[in-house]
Amino acid sequence: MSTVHGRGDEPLLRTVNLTKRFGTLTAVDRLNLELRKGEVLGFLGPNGSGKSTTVGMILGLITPTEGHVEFAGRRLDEQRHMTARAIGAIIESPAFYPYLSGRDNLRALAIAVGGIPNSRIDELLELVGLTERAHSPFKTYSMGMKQRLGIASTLLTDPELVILDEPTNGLDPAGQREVRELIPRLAQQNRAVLLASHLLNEVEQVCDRVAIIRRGKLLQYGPVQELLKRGAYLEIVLEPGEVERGAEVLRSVPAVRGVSILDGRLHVDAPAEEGATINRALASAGIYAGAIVPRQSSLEQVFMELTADQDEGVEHGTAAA
Amino acid sequence: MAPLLRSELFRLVRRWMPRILLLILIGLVGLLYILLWVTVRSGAADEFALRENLRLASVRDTGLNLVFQIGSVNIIIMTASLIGSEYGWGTIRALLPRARSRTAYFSAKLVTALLFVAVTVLIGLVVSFAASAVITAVEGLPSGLGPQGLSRTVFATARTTFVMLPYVALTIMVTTLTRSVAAGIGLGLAVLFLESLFLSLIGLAGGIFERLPGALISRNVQALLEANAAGLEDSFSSSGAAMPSVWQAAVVLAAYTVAFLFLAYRSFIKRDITAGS
Ligand SMILES: Nc1ncnc2c1ncn2[C@@H]1O[C@H](COP(=O)(O)OP(=O)(O)OP(=O)(O)O)[C@@H](O)[C@H]1O
Ligand SMILES: [Mg+2]
Repeated sequence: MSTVHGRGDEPLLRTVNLTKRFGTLTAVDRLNLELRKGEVLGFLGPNGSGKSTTVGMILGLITPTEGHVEFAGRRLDEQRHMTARAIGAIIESPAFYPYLSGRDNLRALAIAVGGIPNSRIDELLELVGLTERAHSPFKTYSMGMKQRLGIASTLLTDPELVILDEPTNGLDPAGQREVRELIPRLAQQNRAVLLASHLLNEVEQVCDRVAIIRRGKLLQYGPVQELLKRGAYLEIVLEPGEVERGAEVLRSVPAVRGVSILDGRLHVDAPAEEGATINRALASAGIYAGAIVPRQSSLEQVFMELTADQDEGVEHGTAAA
Repeated sequence: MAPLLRSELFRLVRRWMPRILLLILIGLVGLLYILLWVTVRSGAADEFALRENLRLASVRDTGLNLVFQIGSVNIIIMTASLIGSEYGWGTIRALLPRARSRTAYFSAKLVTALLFVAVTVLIGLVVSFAASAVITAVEGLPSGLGPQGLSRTVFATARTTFVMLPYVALTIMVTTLTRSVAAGIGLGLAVLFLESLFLSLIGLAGGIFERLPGALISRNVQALLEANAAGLEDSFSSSGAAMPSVWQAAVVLAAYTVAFLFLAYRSFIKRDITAGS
């Protein structure tokens, strides 16, 4: 455990060996996550991987089978009342009273917490662009409007931690961009954001770090850039007749970790700096590369690789420890 | 709990359901009074008995009996919706993390249900008085409502409210356990209507079943409602069957209420609220 008490170093949220079993199914398996103020953590995983169950445990809706959640250094299960103000969250989808207007829905939540002025509600409606429809019943809202109201509701108490579950689901491209621009701004205001999502480019754009889980197990945890680097490779264009031979030559180069042929091109798993070494190796074998291009797989490819059905242990990137 | 209770009430008064239920209560109590009156007028019924049942002094018997019959249905529907809709709409996921504790949430729901019971009985009582006042005046009946009659009416109102509580508690329990409005309403109404029918069938068997009614809900409710008619020459609610004593009935009903609420609370306090429900 960290002995530093500086604000920036002490994690705001920590899950400690967080585990949930439903009967024989282990939905969340010894999950250790940390989240600091000012940070946006992407929480990625395929359907049924345990994202919502984790969020449910953070919010006290679900009791962990083992482990616990700490908030600002204190155990949340012993300080349950803290969630009311300190955390704003949407789980799965925004849920509101269908017969109340958007504004009254926010008021109902505000009253339940206590001490939130109506001006705060108007401010939030303005922020998410719902002022015009604030008085229409929630049941008449479009999917995108519901999402916006959900985001507004998470900010009611000006919480230290915001948890969003697929916040851009159902938004049009303009709306998606707005939300994507909003999320890093939220984190700047001395806040932490946990963003559960399937949209990898969204996570790539707005998150500082990313945690990938599958079947409740943490597969990968670290800075987004780190993860993307794992997916870096060199693409080499050769004369069609020389592709096979080129691959053969490169396999014996020490810096090369792997070579594959895709669409008549070589995909070489090697650091980008080794471009010259590779070129020299090819040239000395009498093969001349038409182009050597450093490429990055998208987070999406990395994600697909990681979550493909294969059993793999937990791998930590430069996980915050 | 106070902020949560305020939030419950904020939402309740903005819903159509409680308004509709109260309008139905007002309409039905008024309508039944008129039907009884028309029956007297047409001379089809025992005139003395009916007049006895319609004047102001008898509101504590006739009126409150109608309020119990109609109001119980209303409060079962309202209570089930109050508890169960949160699961159906998924709003419990948003509301519960805003509560200081699950106990606070549960208490706020319980108090809201009890307030609705109180409002139901009071509005029903007012409508009964209004209808009875018109009939008493038009027919030139003696009101029979002295200070003693008034205080008896107050006690009768308390008793009528009390006998509804086991049904509220039962509905809270069933809805909490099943997280389903339909199950709460279905089982609540089934017990309300079918228990006495079941008892009368079982009663035919005699023997060991003879003591059963005293241990269930409806016979004890009946005992307390019949006590409302004390001091009146004719009772609208009397069934003629042998009744448990008032105190025994009160204890049994209180025991049911506490037991149902305890089971609901115990389940709610540790239950996982997962995405699907
Ligand atoms: N109440 C429950 N009883 C049994 N199993 C459950 C329960 N709730 C969730 N699960 C299981 O736990 C696992 C994790 O579910 P969870 O909802 O956390 O996944 P998720 O990552 O949020 O998925 P999605 O991306 O589809 O929202 C799933 O296999 C699910 O079926
Ligand atoms: Mg989910």
